[in-house]
Amino acid sequence: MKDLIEYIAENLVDDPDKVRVREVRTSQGMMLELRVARDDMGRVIGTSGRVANAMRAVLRVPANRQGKQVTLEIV
Amino acid sequence: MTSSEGNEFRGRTPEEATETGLAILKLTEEQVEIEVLSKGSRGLLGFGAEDARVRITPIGKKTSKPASPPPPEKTAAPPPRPAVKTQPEATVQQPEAPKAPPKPEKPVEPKPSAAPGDGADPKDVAAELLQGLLDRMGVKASVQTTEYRGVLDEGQDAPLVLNIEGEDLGILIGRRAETLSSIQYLTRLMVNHRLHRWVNVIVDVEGYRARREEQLARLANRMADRAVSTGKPVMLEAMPPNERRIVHITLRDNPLVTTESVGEGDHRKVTIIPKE
Repeated sequence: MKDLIEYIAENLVDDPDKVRVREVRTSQGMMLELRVARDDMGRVIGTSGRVANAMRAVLRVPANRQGKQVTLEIV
Repeated sequence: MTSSEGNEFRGRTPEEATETGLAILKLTEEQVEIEVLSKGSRGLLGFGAEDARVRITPIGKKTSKPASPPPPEKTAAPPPRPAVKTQPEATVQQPEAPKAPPKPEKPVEPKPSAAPGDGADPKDVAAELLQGLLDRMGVKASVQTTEYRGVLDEGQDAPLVLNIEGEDLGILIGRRAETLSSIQYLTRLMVNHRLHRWVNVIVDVEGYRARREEQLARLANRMADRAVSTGKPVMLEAMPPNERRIVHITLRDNPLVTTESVGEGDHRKVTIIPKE
């Protein structure tokens, strides 16, 4: 799931080398923390968070399949 | 950000408002979603006339980029006509107008298909990016490019259609096709980013969208018949924008009804109104 978010982010930003995804265990399951270059923030968030929400929606597919709660935060 | 979620434009008719909006945004019809907020009314002898309002939302446009690459189009296009922000003044002119005035032809400029890109075939680029996405979602499926068979707006280029095939792919569609919409949205963004230009990409799962389109077109026609026979407007259930669009386009040339979307956000519904 980490590589899913990395893949999407790297294909949306101008500076793919700055894409970092960290897995953080939480009480409910897992949180993915996405970091990108400052200038690329808008690309992974989108208008009204539309891009971020689309990433969360596709992330739900593998998460549900594995019975895990996975959240995505952009930091 | 100037172009936030949807820009509203006004005009004497929805068509006029749309034209104005597209000119201001420097976009073509296929790059935006158009929602008619109000069709406006002519008023009685010019009194109580109300502007038509449309909301124009660029599809998948990256608004955050300050220095976006100049669009390759509009080389010879004259500057857009100053927006016709008509106030009711123009409404007096036709007290005895024919019931169904011919729709003004919208100036849709075909996009130059020879935009440079990176020399790669957009189809291959799109299929590859989508396949990469599916692989990382842990979905065993393959991607085929297919011909677009659905309804098109006048002058609109056929979009690139990617069909996902495999077993047990209902999970890719999701409730109200939200997962599929997200896959499509991300694929579009990735393709456009890779090619540095706008390509309309549709992602389908085992022909789901195609079937849904046919179903919606049939529903639209059936409900139009009902509206006409009862003389009362028919309101359809709430639908996402792309589905409402199919209803609007299906009934666009029906001389007996007009269509309108009412409500906000997820609750927007198409209403089919019989003409007097």
